[in-house]
Amino acid sequence: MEYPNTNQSLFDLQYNENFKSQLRGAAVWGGIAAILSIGSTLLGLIQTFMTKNEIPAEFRAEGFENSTMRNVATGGNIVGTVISLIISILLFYFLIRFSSLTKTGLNGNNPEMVSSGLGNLSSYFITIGVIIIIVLVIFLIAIAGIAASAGS
Amino acid sequence: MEPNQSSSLFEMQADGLAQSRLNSISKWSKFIAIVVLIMVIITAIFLFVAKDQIIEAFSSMVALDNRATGVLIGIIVVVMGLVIIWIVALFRAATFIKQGLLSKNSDRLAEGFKAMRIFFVISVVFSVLSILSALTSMF
Repeated sequence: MEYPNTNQSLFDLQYNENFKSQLRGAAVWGGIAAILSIGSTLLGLIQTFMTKNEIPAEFRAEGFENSTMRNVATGGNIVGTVISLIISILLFYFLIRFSSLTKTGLNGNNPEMVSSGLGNLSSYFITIGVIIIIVLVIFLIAIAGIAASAGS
Repeated sequence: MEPNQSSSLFEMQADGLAQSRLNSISKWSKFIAIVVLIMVIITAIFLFVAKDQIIEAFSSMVALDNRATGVLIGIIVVVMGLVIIWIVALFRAATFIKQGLLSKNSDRLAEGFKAMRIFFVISVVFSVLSILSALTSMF
């Protein structure tokens, strides 16, 4: 007497061909997005260093053309660019790992590798989410500071 | 005696860890989509309320005639439309992935990753625009 196959638990989820095809598509475009995004950040970095001696027009219009103002404007630009470069490298790493591990896993029918790829996509979204939370907290503190100084 | 094979060589299964990772993708992408959507709505309201002051401020920096103002407004509307499609795609991805996980339905998960692909395609468009803008201002 043959018993039904009970190795597959109720909690298992099968990857069908439709799912594999769509996941592969997302992985391919995720990889392209990762490469272009880091390229865009690197260009921004080059642009910052190329224009580091120029004072923004709005500061010139206000009469701020001395070297202290130039240093403050340039320093702010460089700090902002370096922070965005670090974030971009982190996001690039997670997205490119998602892309390569998922494609390799799907091509080799390796569920562990696909799972690792999904782990990297999860880390990518967690990083963006945490950055958004940090930016919102800084924004709220700034608003509270402005409101407090306006009230006193 | 033949070994009891749970699946064929061509089938793959998502284990508990993969499902937990899919759940995390769904949760965080939904959070990002909702927060960014709220920020876009607030920005749109601000732009609408203060449109006259913004146009005036732009006019003081660069000479803006009616045509240039129309082009500027057109660009803002197109960018906002793209951002909304981008965020809706992310929200749909999060929703379909969650539904697929709850109902153990691979086709729902596939819909989720289809929406995720649209999200990445629009990300590519934004990156290309950013690269073109940087190159234009450099040369």
